[in-house]
Amino acid sequence: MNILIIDDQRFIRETMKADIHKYLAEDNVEIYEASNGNQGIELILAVEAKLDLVILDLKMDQGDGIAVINMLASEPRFTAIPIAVISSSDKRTLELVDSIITGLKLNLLGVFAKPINVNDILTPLLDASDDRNLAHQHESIVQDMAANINVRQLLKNEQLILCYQPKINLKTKEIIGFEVLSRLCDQSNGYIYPDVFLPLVNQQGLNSLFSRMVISQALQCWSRQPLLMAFALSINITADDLTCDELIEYIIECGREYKQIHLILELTESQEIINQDRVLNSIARLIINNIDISLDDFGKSYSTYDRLDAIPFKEIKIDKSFVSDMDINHQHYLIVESTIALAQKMHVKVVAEGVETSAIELILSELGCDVAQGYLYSPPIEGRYLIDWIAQYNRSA
Amino acid sequence: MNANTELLKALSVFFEQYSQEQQSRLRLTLIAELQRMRLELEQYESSDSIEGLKHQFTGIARYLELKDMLSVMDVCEREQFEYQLCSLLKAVMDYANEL
Amino acid sequence: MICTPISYQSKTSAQTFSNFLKHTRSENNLSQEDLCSLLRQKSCLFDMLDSITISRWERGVNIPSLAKQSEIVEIFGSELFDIYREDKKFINEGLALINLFESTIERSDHPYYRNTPYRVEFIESHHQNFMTLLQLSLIYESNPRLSFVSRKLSQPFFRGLSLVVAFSFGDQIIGHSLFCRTQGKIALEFMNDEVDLFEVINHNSQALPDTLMVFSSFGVTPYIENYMMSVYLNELATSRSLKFLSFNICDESLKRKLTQFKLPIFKVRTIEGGFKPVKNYSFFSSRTEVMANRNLLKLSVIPTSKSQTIDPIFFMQLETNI
Repeated sequence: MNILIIDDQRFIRETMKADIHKYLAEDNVEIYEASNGNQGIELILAVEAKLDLVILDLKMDQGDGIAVINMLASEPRFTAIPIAVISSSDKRTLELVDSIITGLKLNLLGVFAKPINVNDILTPLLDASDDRNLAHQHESIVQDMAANINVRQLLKNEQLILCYQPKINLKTKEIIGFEVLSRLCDQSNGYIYPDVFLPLVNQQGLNSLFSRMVISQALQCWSRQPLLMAFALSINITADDLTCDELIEYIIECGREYKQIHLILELTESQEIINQDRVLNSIARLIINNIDISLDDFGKSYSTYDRLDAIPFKEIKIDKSFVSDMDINHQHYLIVESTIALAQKMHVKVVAEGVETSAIELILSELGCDVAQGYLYSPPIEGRYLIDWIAQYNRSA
Repeated sequence: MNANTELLKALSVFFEQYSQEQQSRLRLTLIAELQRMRLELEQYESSDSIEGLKHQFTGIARYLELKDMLSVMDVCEREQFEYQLCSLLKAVMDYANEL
Repeated sequence: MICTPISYQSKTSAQTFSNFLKHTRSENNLSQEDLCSLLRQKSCLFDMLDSITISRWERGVNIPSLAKQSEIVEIFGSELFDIYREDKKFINEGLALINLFESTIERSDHPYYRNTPYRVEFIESHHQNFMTLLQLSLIYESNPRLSFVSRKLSQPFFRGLSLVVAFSFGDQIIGHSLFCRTQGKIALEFMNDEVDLFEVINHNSQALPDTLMVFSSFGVTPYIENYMMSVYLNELATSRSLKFLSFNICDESLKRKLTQFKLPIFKVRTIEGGFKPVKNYSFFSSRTEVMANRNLLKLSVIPTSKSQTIDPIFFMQLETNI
């Protein structure tokens, strides 16, 4: 294990070294030291990706703790290096620093006040490497699955199956609509989920074909069952899709053909593209044609607030990663709370995704959230089950 | 000499968690650090800000768990700070000598 | 570690669906054209369907995926479980996951188990060894969420819990599974730390349990692992009221197996507070997802009974009383 300590006080560095050796045997760990930001940066460049941990004192004399952070944020190969920030500053400063560094998408283990309990740093580090392994495992499983999948063929053979997840009005408990979630099905794998096939769809440039198939199947499903017309139909769309004129035309056509269906497009943010005029143009055309736009995964993107200015969204969806543990994670609670407040000020509907328990549902109600979606009500279900599900839900409500 | 006894106690609690070799290295480092800080302080003009040094001292005091010293750090002026710094330095040297 | 045997698509099981189509048409007096119109009308997945394709399906050519078959089969009031469990050839494919079919293999790598016939039993909560066997399973799983030593509960409280144990010659335990029926809502609450195991197995609601929740599943060989899995999968298959299959486990090798079987992970959490942090994995899949998964479908059609002897090497007889 390679650890770099950047702190201008030698006594602090020595103490930390001694503490680390309490937990990690001396031959198992190599500790590098730097007494200022520049030295730290030199060492990082020298040791490179082999660093397992950087312990950084923020308020070094020349104020160059921040320089180190900026340097780490500038290169993709450094952003994965776990960082522990230490400081003698007060709690609020520490929290602010935490959010800045997390916002830069660095791998922050935590911000610790001196005196540091080295165990507090090492435990999450060892856990995090498990998490990284898990993430790697997941990635390689996804890649394995992906390797055996011929997306083009599957789409050609219409092996697309749509599932629908209900959205519930938190005040009245009524169903207001359904979100469309797509699956591919093949002979040996059963269902193939979007996290596996969407990257392939992207890679092979099949985006607009795919989106078209989804929209087509969803509208057919809705039009075949008149009872469903009462419910909004939310379909996911990427910013990339919005640059495809043909697709926009198709959607507008569909909107005209199926006038009675309330169509909502859930836009997954894509930082690079969304500010392009073309995209804004497409969105404007859709809105004029009575197709609502919803902003998905709200809060996960760094420059979210930018977007709100340019586009008249009808709805914001709060990502499930914030909602599902907001009862025990205070930061997530604050994020959800402020998003709801923001949405209310902008007269925009807010949907919380990933609601799994009544407890969370209650908290969301109290915060004034409009709509909830999640396993508490139903997982995504196939089109053929919708009518029965709706009947059963209304019976028990 | 009560304050000194308290300091000595705190120092022994701190040092004794480490091995002999680590203890001696940490002791030497601490002494060197405190001496450096004192010299710096002496060279400061009356107009210079001592916030940086106070910050450094606070870091050390937190590790050594010197509650009394910490409680005055926020408000103390230069003279009092110098006094705290020297007290700690003396205590560490006394501690080293007693070994 | 031996690789988990995964089965690949075999041509033989194409017949199941073909036969179903032919049979359904004749029962309902439908031509291929009629069937085609019916499917296009009733489902939005078959907009482009023509009778030529149906003809191909009936000849066993270009069979649609299980997920699509499911859509068709359910229009006629059946389920994939129903039609596939009648198919001896399909069941044989499943048996390949449980039997070695190789009489030359006499020994396994396991220290005391040598691929000899083993006995699988449902241990009732009033059984004299129930608590011991339960404790052993829990110790194996090491899931901090399942400890209820502090509760000092007596056996009647465990009546809702199914404990299945595999014994080899000499009463060595070579496999187990632990599961129960509960409600989806409560299963989700358990996964979110809001209720404990006691509340999961003793849920007090009026509604019928709709979720099969598995807490532990293990076998000393992959074949036994598969058999233990087939026990609760079969229970899922035979009760139409069970709409969901859920796992809440800490066993890394089971998690790997489920992932290899392409079951998506629902949640991963790290549980602190024990000797060291433990990773806890939750899975939550619908009945339909399970049936559309070939390997799980194969395991589910293998019949179970309260007490059964399996010979892992030679062909297993299917006459068992349930």
